[in-house]
Amino acid sequence: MNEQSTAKEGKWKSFFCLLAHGKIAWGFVAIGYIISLASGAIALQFSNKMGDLVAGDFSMGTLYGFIWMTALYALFNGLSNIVMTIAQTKSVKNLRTVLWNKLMRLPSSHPMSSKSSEMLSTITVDATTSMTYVLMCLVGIPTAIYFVVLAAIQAASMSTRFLIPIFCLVPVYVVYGIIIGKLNQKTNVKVQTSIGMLTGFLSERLRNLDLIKAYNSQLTEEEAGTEAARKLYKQNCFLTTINTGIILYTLLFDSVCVIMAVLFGSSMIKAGTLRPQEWANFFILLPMVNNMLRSASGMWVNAKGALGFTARISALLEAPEEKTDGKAVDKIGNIALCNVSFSYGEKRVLDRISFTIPMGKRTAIVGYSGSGKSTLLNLIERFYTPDEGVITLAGENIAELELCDYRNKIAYVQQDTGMFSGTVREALLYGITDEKSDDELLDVLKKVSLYEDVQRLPAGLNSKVALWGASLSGGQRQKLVIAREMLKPSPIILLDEPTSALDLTAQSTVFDAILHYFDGRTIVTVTHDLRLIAEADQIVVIDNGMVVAHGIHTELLDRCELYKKLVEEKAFEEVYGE
Amino acid sequence: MKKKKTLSIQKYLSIFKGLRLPWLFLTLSVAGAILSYLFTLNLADLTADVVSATGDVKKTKLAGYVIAALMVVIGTTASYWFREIAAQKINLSLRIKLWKKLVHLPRNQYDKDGGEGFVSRITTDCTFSSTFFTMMVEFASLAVGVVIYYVELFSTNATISAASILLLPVTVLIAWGYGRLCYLLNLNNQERLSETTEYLIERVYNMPLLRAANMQEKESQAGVQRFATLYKVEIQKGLLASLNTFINGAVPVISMAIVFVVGAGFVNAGAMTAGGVYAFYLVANSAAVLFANIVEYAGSIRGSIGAMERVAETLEQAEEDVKSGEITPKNGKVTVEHVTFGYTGASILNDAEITIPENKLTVIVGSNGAGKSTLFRLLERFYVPKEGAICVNGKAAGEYSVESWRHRIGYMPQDGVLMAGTIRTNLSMGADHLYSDEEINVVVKQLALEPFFASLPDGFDSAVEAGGKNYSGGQRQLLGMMRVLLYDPEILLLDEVTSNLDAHSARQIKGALKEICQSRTVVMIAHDLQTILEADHALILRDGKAVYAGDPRQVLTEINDYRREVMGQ
Repeated sequence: MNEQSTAKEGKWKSFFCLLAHGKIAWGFVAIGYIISLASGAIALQFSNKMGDLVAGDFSMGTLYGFIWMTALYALFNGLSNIVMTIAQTKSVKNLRTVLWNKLMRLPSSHPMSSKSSEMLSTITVDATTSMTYVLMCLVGIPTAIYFVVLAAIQAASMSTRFLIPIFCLVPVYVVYGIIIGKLNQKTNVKVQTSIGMLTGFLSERLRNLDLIKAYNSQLTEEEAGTEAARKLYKQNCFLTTINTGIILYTLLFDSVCVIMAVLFGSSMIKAGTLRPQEWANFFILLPMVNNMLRSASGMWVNAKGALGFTARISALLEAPEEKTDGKAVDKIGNIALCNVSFSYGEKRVLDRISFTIPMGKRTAIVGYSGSGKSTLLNLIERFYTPDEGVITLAGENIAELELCDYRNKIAYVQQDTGMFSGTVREALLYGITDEKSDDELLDVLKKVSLYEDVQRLPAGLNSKVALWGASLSGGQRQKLVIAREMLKPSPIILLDEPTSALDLTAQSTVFDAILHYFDGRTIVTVTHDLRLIAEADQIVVIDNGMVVAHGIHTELLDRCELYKKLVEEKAFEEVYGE
Repeated sequence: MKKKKTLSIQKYLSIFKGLRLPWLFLTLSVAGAILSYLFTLNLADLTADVVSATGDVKKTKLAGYVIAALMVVIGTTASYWFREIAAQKINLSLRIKLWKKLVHLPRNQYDKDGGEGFVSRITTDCTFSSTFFTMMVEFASLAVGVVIYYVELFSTNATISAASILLLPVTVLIAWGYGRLCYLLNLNNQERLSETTEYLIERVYNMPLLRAANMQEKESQAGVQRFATLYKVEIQKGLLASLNTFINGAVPVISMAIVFVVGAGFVNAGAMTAGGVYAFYLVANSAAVLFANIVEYAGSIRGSIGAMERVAETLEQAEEDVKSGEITPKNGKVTVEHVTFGYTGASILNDAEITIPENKLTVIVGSNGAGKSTLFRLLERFYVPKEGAICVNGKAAGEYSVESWRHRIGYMPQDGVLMAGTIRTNLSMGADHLYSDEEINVVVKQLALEPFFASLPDGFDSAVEAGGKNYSGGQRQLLGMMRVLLYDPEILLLDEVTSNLDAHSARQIKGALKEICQSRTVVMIAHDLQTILEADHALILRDGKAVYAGDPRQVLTEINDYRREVMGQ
């Protein structure tokens, strides 16, 4: 119970967090607010004039007043709609900008960082949904209350007994907001889950269609897909039925309103306490109050439904950013890891690791997959912070250094990060601040034997690379990424399996390029490539997150069983036997 | 203009061909609507009476009002319920129809939009089509309603009716213009929207690269620019929606003004009572609301035509014929004869000639883009060669049925590929039953994977998440290997299947393959030297041709010769 209520509070807090940090276009909201209030007041006047007409007062004055009010009413309604649309869209844009800036600066250890699809939907869907409903609620509900109060005052001026039906309507819509709103929300969630399941099912199957065809299992998949679609159908039918219930409820109350007005009015007219004109006024007024209350409770329901989205956004807005400030990096030296431990959640990946990466030398890190090698590079790059222990550069704790400056000192070829779409030139210059001539670019392309490939493209360096670099082969992509890092003057080079997607010939070309081009800089390579290992000045063998041995190739062959296994002597001799 | 994007009625109707449409529900929906329209007329009469009676409300009148109101409520809700359920029924049957179609489409149909584009076709586009359909039905009942109302209106007072009917052509004109606007905007917007989404997807999925390159500032500016574009699109959309609301609000208001102004003349002349004018107003108002709805529907119908076109196109495509043809013989010799093939532009395979030796482990070596994976796709008959043929026992593949062919020739992609379910459901792919523990254990033993399964909490029934996310790349490959062995083909095509395995497991798998080759043909794409050297036979592909076939030990020499040749230029 207690937990539930705190969860709820947290949600409403997120509402305010969005208001505070979401950069809402307050100017437009204020204008929209004023127009909405004015339109409420006009609506009331309009209902009066209409009442006069209905009661039979067709004098020119009433008629012109009526037409005038009608036009004003339509105009103000339209205006408030337009202004609120602008306010919402502007606010969504601002919120997206805030979120995007935040996302890029989140620490990699933040849970959101690993959930790419959530990040995406936060910017695209959540931002729109939460902002739209929050603003609607913010302006719509006070307007509705204002109108109801005005209407109540007017009704009271005719007869205090008219207040009774008005106040009878209020609990009706409070109930509506609470019960039906909740039911509707729950079913909506179920429908969304079913849609999600169907989407998941379909995209998995369509992505792996080769496999389905190869296994002749089209018919089985046909049935499974039908089943998933049927589940969604059932949820949708349920939702429809609930919506029908809501419509029934509102229509019934429309009629109840009219009947109430008739009953109240007729008895009072009979008793002579009410003029027919007043009665006609009230007869028009009551359904309008009913409508206002309904739309307000509808907004409330929507806003509550959007709280889930709002909560995600506010969690993100309040998340800490990567620590960027610190000392400038003024000297480069050995990188030392001292008792470094790191866990992803429960799973300990690195366990009290200590070793030194000497400046200007080549260090190779080897081990079975999953032994923590890539994590080690990510710690050095400061994507993550060690749970225990410190990493130092020339004696300075790297966590104390200015982040941008520090990362500029490192060129990092990550395992499967590719490039962004754009031209070859843009891909090469990504993250490079100083000017580079075409010759320089072509030069590095030659070094990784990509020159001919680029020359063959229709527009050379200015040729477009498709989304995800899909128009390039895996090997070409890897070469391009290495070329990009070659353009950086960084004194420290981190390479994570830099030749994994390359064929034999390309491997040795790129390998030569790496060794020669980066010669004299600090190189840290995670690799299975025997030649890269053999050329290392220091080899660190990692198993289960611990350093089991380090030394040079020939030494390790002698004293480290694991290394021996890893290196597969036989293959090595075959390559170098000639 | 017409040529551009008009969905012909025939093409549109072809979407629904062979579907069981919920005619009963649709009819009931129309009936409910008509019921409510009819009683709305009664209601208006009664209301007017109630208003005019100035306080003297008879019990019978009130009872009549209550009944009429109840009928309107029932009619409206029933109409809504039947219509929406009918829409869901149409969605369901269309989704099933489309999915069945998609599963059977030939592979090359997927290359255009990468397969995953089809997902939205089933989840979103299908809804458009059914909405279109139900909207047409609603449109029909609206038309009936408008006629009913105007018949009543004209019988009450022809002059006011004539005045208010003037709204009809205006509304229709507005509807047409609005629909056109919606359509044009949607056309442009979709493109700009997807550009922004693509930008975001790329960055979001590649966040480490962005961070490592210190690009936060620049990407922030780029992002702001994208959001500004998106803003323009959204504001247009929003304003269009406001315009719609405005029209929706204005049409009834204008109609009301007309009724009261013209009616005032009659009342002042003593030709009508105030109550009569009010009753007239109520009916005219209902008619005006219907008019306004017409505008809205016109907009959404125009907006959804593009989506339906895609559905119709998909449904029109021919399915892959997997049944017809001879049964592929069990012990057949597979040869690739003068095969030329390319996906779109340039040829990837160029007059390739290959013989696959039986009961041997053959490795295929070649640089990136040499055509190795493409060769596999042709061997598996996902694609048909442009020239030449793949033959079994000298007979072209086309003579044999695709189904039996794929049963003889098994294929394992590089990733192993798991789908959501359990390990058992994944392993049982393509089988007519779920494999029993005994059946699976045979393969477990063959690959010496006992320790792996011992470490899983629920053994063969351990859960697999979508995309096999909860297993490592190596484990996925092991499971993929088990699956292809359980499928029991005579020829196994393996695409770099040990690339994610650690050296120890890779060696184990390769050992097992040696044994498997005693009775089966294995063709493997390989990049590492050790695998190549352990094979019985090697093929080198270069520029879409087999340039070497023979002893694997010669491969290295061959490659080095080539390298020297290239470098030496």
